[in-house]
Amino acid sequence: MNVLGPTLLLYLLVGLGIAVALYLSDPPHSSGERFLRLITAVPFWPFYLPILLARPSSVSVAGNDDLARMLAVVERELDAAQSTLEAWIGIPGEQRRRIHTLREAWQAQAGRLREMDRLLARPEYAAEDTAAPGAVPRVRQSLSARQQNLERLRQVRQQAEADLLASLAWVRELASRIHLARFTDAPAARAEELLTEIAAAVETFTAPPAVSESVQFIKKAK
Amino acid sequence: MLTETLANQDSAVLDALPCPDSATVETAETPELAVNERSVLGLVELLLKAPGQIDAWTRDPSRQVELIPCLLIVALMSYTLFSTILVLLLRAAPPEAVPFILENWNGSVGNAVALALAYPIGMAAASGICLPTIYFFGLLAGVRISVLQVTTYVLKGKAATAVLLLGLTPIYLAVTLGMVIFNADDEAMSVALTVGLALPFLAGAWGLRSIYVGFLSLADTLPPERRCRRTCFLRRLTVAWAVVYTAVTPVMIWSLNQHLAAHLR
Repeated sequence: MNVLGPTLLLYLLVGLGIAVALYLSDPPHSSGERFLRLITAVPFWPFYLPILLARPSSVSVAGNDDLARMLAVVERELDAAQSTLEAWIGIPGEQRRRIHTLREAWQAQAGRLREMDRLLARPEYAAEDTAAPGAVPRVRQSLSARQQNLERLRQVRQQAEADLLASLAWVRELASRIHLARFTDAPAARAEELLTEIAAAVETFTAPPAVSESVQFIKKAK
Repeated sequence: MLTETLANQDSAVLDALPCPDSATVETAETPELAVNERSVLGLVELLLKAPGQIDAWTRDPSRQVELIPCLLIVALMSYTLFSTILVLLLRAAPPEAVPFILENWNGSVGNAVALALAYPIGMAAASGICLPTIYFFGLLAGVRISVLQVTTYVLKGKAATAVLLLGLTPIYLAVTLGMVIFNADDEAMSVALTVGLALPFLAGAWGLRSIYVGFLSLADTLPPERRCRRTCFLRRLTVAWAVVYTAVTPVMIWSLNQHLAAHLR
């Protein structure tokens, strides 16, 4: 009995299924890149299967997607507020530049958060390394310092996220106040005040992070 | 415990790490090379200039998803190009010079297509067959690893082989084509063609080294108190896997070639 033909057919059918799943779940790529992926996924699906299986547990990707969505929403709201201000009082070049800098600062902060998430999601940082009962004190101290540094990094990441979310929330509030002011016939001075407040939001990001005085490490014994 | 900045801590930390391994140190290449890792050419550049950077990326779950298709495409393209050149040389050579391993070679289009397909498909299929083994070996040694990461390591090895093969191909082509043009004797021509058939396996040693170095760098996920002993175990298992893989690949290519040739005749 020749089993090669039916086996090959089954293999290619599985490959077709995986190619479809990959197409539906893949993040957007250029059409050429996507085509190459799909073409190679049909015959070489065993290499693509781990990508599909790993996707649901990828916490950092999901978190970043939420952040990207939030950023997109706030940018749209800021666009609308800018249009309202433009039609109402006109936006001076300096303020326009500062709002542009604010948008860039958001993107930079989001990128920094992604970098930190990627780093902290690595398997070597996922679990706590504990020293063996018989380990020499220096090894113990090093491992303890390492844990403290990782904990500090997690705190820095949380702080960065909190700062970004606070800035986004503040700009959303200001945007809604601009619309309200516009349609309650508030004076132009009020609009200028709100515009200045939006442009000033960028300063919350320009301050450098606190100097890491408490970063721990073991000094080599002389 | 003293508190200082991070600027001059490297020596102290390195000294405190138990059982340092040369493979681990080798992967820590700095600074990062700025290339577009999502493009195939960018990846080829990285494989040549900073393989350690790819090793670092293979540990990053979000980059693994991007790396797998690109590495696979690099490997497939290179093998396809090489096997096409090899087939053209075999067709140009006198029939008496064709190596004995290609016993059914008659220069027909079916034979040529079979051999041209056998290399890329066989190489990838052998990797796919050996993939679960290296994953279980990794788990057996106790390293923290995912199937996605193992796939990335194996494909990185394939791509490293492919890049070296691309580098060797023009030299091989120039030499063999010269022999064809100047009517070298059949015995010398046969040796040259046999070398051509074996060239991907010779280049494969570079790919195996790449997998070995990358896989051993995972030893830092082992608990410190067992790292030294487990690293030795991991090293032996990786070598054992490399031996199995080296045996499976030529058999796979040969079988595939025979089978395809019989069907495409």
